[in-house]
Amino acid sequence: MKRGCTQCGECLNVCPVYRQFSREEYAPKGKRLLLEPLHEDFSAAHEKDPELDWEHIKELARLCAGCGKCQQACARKLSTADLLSDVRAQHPHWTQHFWSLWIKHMGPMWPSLGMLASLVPGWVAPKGLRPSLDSAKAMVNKHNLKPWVTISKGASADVDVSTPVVVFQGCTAKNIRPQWTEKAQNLLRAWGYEVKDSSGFNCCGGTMHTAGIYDTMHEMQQKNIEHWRALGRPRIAVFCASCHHALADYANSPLSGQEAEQWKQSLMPLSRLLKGAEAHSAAEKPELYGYHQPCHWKTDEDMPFLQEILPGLVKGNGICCGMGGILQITNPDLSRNMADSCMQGFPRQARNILTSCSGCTIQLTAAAPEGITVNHWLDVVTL
Amino acid sequence: MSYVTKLTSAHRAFLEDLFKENVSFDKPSLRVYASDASNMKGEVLAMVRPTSVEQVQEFMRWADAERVVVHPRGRGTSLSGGCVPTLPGIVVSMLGMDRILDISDTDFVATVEPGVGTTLLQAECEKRNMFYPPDPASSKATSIGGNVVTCAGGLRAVKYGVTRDYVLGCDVVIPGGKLLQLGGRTQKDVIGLDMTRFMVGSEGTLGILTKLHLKLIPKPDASASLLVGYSSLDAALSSMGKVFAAGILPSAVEFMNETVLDILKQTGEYPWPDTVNSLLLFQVDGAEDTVPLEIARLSKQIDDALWRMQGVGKEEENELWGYRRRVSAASYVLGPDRIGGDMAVPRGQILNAVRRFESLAEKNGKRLIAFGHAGDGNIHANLHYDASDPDDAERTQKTHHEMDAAVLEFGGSLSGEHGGGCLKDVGRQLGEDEHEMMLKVRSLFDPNGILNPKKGY
Ligand SMILES: Cc1cc2nc3c(=O)[nH]c(=O)nc-3n(C[C@H](O)[C@H](O)[C@H](O)COP(=O)(O)OP(=O)(O)OC[C@H]3O[C@@H](n4cnc5c(N)ncnc54)[C@H](O)[C@@H]3O)c2cc1C
Ligand code: SF4
Ligand code: SF4
Repeated sequence: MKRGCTQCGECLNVCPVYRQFSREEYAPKGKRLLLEPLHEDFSAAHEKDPELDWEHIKELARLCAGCGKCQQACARKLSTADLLSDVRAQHPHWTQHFWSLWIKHMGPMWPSLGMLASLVPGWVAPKGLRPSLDSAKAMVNKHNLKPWVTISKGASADVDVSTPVVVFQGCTAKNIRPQWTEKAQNLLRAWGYEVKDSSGFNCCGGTMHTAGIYDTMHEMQQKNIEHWRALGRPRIAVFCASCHHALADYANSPLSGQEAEQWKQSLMPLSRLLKGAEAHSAAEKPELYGYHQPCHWKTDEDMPFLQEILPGLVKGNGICCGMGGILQITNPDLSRNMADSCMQGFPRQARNILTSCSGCTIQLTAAAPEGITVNHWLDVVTL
Repeated sequence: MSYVTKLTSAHRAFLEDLFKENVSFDKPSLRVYASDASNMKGEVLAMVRPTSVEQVQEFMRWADAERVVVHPRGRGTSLSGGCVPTLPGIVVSMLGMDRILDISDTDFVATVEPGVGTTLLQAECEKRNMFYPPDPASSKATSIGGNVVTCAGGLRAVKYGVTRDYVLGCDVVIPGGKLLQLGGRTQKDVIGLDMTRFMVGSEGTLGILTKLHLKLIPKPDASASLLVGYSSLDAALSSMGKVFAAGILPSAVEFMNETVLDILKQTGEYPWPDTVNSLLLFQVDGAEDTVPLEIARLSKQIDDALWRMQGVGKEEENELWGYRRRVSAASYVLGPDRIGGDMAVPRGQILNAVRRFESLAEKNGKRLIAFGHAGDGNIHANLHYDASDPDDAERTQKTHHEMDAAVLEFGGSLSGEHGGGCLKDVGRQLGEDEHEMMLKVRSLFDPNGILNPKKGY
C-alpha cells in the first residue's frame, strides 16, 4: 500500500481551483482525502465509507484542471490529477464518453461547430450554455493577424540537422488550426531539417488520460508510437505544451527500456530546434504583449525563445487557464472563471496575448474581452 | 458540561442565514475539516467560513448560548492536532478573512486578517523593502493567523526570535461575541496586562483572532551560507560554540546528526568526504558589503571542521540548503510512517539531549533522526516505522514517550514549535499551580468551554 497525503498543505497555494474559492475542500489535499480511500493503492477495501463513495464525492473531487502544479509542489510528488483519472477509470461517467466522442469522432466538425456558435447571439443563449458557446466560437479559425516578426536561421546557428524531424500537431492543429503545422514544418525546412510526414499521428491521448478512459488512451498511444517507429524514430517537434506533457509520459508507459530512452531523447519543443534565429520585427509588432505560460511544460523553452525573437514579453500572473483535462466539459463555469482570472493577470496595456499550447489558445480566446487577441506564437512568426 | 452533538434544523437555519454560501453540512466537504497534518480525525458538524468580524461575533454569541463546540482553523497544518475536533463541533475556517489591510513603511507595521498566507505577507513586505522574519518551515502552507495562535518559529529564530516577538496587537472575538482590541500599532505599550501575549500561542483556546498588527523590520539585503562537516555531532556542536563566543550571531544554524548523514548518503549524491558524519549549516544576513566579511569571520572561527562549502547569494545558498531540505524525504528509507518530536532544550544541552534520545531509541531497536535549529535548541527528533507492523509501531510510540520524559530532565520543553494540541500531556511539564492558573484564565475567556476543548493545556 502506498502512503498518501500527509496534509502538509504545500499544494494549496499552487492550485488554480483552490485559488478560485479559498476553501480547503477544493484544494488538492481535500480532493485526495476523498479519492485516496477509493483507490486500492492507498486504501484497503474494508476502510471504505459508503457515505463517501464516488457518487457522493464526484461533484467535489472532479474539480481539477489537471494542471499538474500540485504534484510539482508536493514533497511526496503525489499527483491528484492522476489519482482522479484512476478513480474515474473505475467509475465511468457520461461526460467522459461525451469527450471521447468529441475527440474521436467530432474532430473534423470543430470548425463548423464554431461557426454555428458564432451565429447565436450571446444574449440569447441560456446562462449555463454561454461558456461552451464561447469556446466553440473560439475554435473558428480567424486568419486576421499579420505576422509580427520574420525569422530566419542565423549564420551562427548551432543546430544538428542530421536526424530527421516530424511535427506532432495534436488534435487542435489537425482539426482547426492546420496553419500551425504547416508553419512549423516550413520553419524546420528553412533551418535545414529533413521533415517527415505528420499525418500518421493522432491525438496524444492526454485528454483520455484525464477522463480515465484508458483503453482509448492506449490505442492512441500505440498508434503514435507505431507511426514514429515507421518513420525510423525521428525527432518529434511539439508546439503544444499539453501534447508534450502527455507524450513525455509514454517514456514511463507504454514504452520501456532503451526505446523509452530513445523516445525521451527524440521528444522536444519545436523552439529548441529553431535555435539561433535571426529576427526582424514588423510594424505590426506591439511594443508589449502578454505571454500565458502553459502549466504543462516541465521546463518552458518557448518563453526564452520568444523573449529572444520578440522583445516586449510580459508574463501573465494567472496560474492556469482552466482548459486542462475535461473541466471544460464537466464544469464549464469553473473552467471559464479560471480563464477569466487568467486574463486579469495581464497588464492592461497588453492587447495581444501569446501562448505555446493549443488548449490554452482556444480557452483564452474564448475568455478574451473585446479587443484582445489570443494566439499561439506560431501565428505571429513568419519566414 | 454537555454540548450539542447534532445540529437541529433551527441551528442549520441560523447558520445558513448568517453565512449564506459560506456554510457546509455535506459529508464530502466536511471531510477535509475533520483532520489536519497530525492525521488524526474528529467529527465535524458543519464548516463555516466568516468573511467579516461581525459574522464571527454573531456566531460566537450563538455558539456560546447554544453550547456548540467551536474549532477555529487556519490552513490546517497543525502537527499536534490543533484543528482536529476533539468533540463534535463546528469548524470555523478563517480563510475567508484574508485581506492585507495595510503595510506601513512609516510605522513598520502590517495590519492583516488572519487568513492571509504567510509567504504572501512576507513577499508583500519584501516588495516594500521590509521584512517579517518568522519563518516556519511550513510557511508556504500556513496562514498568518495560525502562526500567531501557535507562536510559530523557524530557522531564523536564533537571530530574529519567533512569531511572539512580532505581534504588536490583535482583535479577538471571545465566546459570547465580545470583540476585544488588544495592543495596537505602537512598538512600545506598557499600559495594562499584555493580553496580546496571551493570544500568541493560545492554540485557539481563548478566542478567534480576526485582525493582527504585526511588527516589521528593514529587509536585510544580502545573505550567505556555510555548510560545514565534522566527524561527529560532538565535534560539530563544540565548534558551533566558538561562533557564538566570538560574538557572531548567525541568522540560522542547523545541525544534523550521524543518522541524518547516513540517510542522505543512502538517498542521493553528496559533496562531503566519507569522514564527515555530522553537519552544521550556518547563514548570516545583513548589508551587501558586510555579509562577505561576516561569513569569512564565521568561517575562521570553525577551524576544526573537516570540510566546508560556502554559498553567497540565493542560487549558491539554495544548493547548500537543498541538503537540509532533503532530510525530510530521505527519512522515509527508515520506514514509511513517522512520529515527529519537536522538543526544545537550553542551547547548551542539545548534545546531551540528542545522545540520550538516541540511546532510548536504540534500546527499543529504533534509529533516531535528529536535526534542527541548533541556534535555539529546538530538536526535530523523528522516528520512522511501519504502521502495518504492530510491534514496530509499539516500540516507536514507546520511544517517543520516553523522549518526552527525558527532555524535561534537561530543563527542556515538550514542544518548541508545534504546540500541545491534542497530543501532548502538558501536565508533565507544567507545575500543578501554574497549570491550574492557566485553566482559570481560560475559563475567564471561555466560561462554557466551547473553544477547542481538550486541546492545548
Ligand atoms: C511539514 C510541516 C512543517 C512544519 N514546520 C513548522 C516549523 O518549522 N515551525 C512551526 O512553528 N510549525 C511548523 N509546522 C506546524 C504548523 O505549520 C504551524 O503550527 C502553523 O503555524 C499552523 O498554521 P495554520 O494556518 O496551518 O494553522 P492551523 O493548523 O489551521 O491552526 C493551528 C491552531 O490555531 C488555531 N487557529 C487557527 N487560526 C485561528 C484564528 N484565527 N483564531 C483562533 N485560533 C486559530 C487552530 O484551532 C489550531 O489550534 C509544520 C507543519 C508541517 C506540516
Ligand atoms: S492538477 Fe492542478 S487543478 Fe488539479 S488539483 Fe492539482 S493543482 Fe489543482
Ligand atoms: S502537498 Fe502532497 S502531501 Fe501535502 S497536502 Fe498536498 S497532496 Fe497532500
